Amino acid sequence: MTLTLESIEYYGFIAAFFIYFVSMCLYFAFFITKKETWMNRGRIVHHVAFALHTLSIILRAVAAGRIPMANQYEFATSFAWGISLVFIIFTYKYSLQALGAFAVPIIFVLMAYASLQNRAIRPLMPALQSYWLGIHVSMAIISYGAFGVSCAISILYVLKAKRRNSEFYQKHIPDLKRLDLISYRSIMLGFLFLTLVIITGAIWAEQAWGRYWAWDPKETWSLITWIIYAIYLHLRFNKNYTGHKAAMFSVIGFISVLFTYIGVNTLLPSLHSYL
Amino acid sequence: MVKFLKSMKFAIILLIIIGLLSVVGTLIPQNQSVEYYMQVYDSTMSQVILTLGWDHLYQSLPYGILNVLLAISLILCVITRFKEINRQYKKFPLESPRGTKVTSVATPKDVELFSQMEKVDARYVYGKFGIGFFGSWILHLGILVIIASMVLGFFFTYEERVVALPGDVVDLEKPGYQLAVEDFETELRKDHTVEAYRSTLTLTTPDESFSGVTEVNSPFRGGGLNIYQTSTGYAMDVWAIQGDKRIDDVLLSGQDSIRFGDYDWKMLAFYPEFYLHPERGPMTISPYLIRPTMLYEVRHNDELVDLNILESTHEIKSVGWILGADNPRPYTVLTVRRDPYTPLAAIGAVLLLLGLALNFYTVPRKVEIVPGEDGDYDVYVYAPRQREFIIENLNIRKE
Repeated sequence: MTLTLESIEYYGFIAAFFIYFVSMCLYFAFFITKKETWMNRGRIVHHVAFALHTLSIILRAVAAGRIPMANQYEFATSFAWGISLVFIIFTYKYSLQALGAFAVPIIFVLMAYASLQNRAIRPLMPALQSYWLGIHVSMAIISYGAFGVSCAISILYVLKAKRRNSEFYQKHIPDLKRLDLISYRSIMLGFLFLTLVIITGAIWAEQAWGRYWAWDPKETWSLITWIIYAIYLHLRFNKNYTGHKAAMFSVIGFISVLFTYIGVNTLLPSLHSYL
Repeated sequence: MVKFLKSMKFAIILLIIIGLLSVVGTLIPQNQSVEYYMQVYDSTMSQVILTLGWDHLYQSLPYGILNVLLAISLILCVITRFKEINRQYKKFPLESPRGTKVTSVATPKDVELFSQMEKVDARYVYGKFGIGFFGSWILHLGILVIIASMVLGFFFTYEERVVALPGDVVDLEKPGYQLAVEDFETELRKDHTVEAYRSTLTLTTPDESFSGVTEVNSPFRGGGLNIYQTSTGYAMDVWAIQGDKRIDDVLLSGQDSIRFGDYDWKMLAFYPEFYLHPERGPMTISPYLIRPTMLYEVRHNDELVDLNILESTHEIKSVGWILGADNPRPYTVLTVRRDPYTPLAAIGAVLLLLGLALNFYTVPRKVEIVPGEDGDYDVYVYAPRQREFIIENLNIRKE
């Protein structure tokens, strides 16, 4: 069998997919056995998966001769990569290793979704032949990644709130105020980049379709997601809306993100049906 | 009343309603014909959709009113808050801080300590990121500017759709403007997929002429107009003969029908290399003009009376007439547009991003440094707009 860049990319993707699964199991083992060793193993394995994942995306870019963000498969794997990246950054910045038990499953599910998509490399249609593709979609990956991590932190918050007296939770999970703060910071990052996604999308739409806003379902759902997080931020700034309610908001916001990405493509007719 | 209109509560209620209505707008196909809604939905639902204007929701009056109310709320918010924000900013470094002691690099415990430490007299006080007070104000101004540009654009944008064959010269609705389509080509790759659609144009204005090319992602800009490559299709020379009556015209796929006798003839689709697939029906094998064929319909008083295919250079009998077609060639669809308020939207977007960055990443804080009992200096940090705990360790030590 001849090894091509495309096939190596595929093996890299499959390997990353399964190693993320192993990492997820190790993180789950940490929560079940309450032994720190499992968490450390989960972290190391996640790093290996992330490295392979990165490599597979780079190989895809080389094989396609363009930025690999032009169809459902490419965006799904990039979306998972974005969450993985933001998760690593937040893990080190805030010493939040246990977050893996909630972030890695999200990454795994997105990888599973990517694996179901058509992964054939096709040349870009005229509307996608623009440098704005890389800028616009990269912003979306960071934004969605940050919202994904925020959702994972919020789930962790809800669990910790229910078991705040547990010795295990006290030792390994930051206190509730800090979790709330980290989730908020993740949303801040996601919101800033979502705004950039909408703005860069508008600039690109003007060049490709002749108008910067046309109420296409993808555009509209991006706006709806933006509105959800804008309400969250207003309430947080002005009504001290923190804690459990804020965590719920974060989860709802991420559901909207997922619908914007997957739901719109599969359920609604859209000019963005390729993404 | 004004107090309510400028309140955050009112703004959030509006955002929720706008958000929910926007969801509805994505679930119901927009800008379709009345018949479409009558066919797709039951009579009650279709009546609801048509009565409430949900068939064109984003251009409907209720949606417009909501946005106007949001704009009013933003205007009041921007006007009334500026004074207070400016006051805060001006007195920011001078006001005695009510800080909380921070003794080490931020740890989770510091978060608890932060709100418990006692107030002390200042020895040295300074402010950081005072500009951050304006973050929220600037981003609201940005949103207001974007809404204003969209509203102005809605009323004052000039837009026209031009459907033309190579060689056509079209008088635009804008007086004195003429658009000549010199050429149109579809560049294909080896795998028959489209690399580019390209129209070569000459725009003549009352003052001068502009020549250039428009492609998807690379519009032609000249004479104050933007010309976008929007779509394409195929045209055929067609004729209809009945006795000594003969009608010649050009029929364009997917465009308006032409009339012969009491009938309307429309080209529904065009197949460059026609093939009738036993399961999938009519299709094209390649984009090359090898067996050019049209799928057409003939209607009489809006009632379908014939639906068939007609190959180029062939003739067919239909409703007592002989219909024929020849000379297939591509046509181009262009959008000619001038939105003088696009730069305003760009300014709004910049303001929005600037405001967000200031609001999130330059949280105003006051720093107070006082001699500590152990000979070190203690550092106190106070965030007037305390959205999160601000903790700093300046590592200042007494010599």
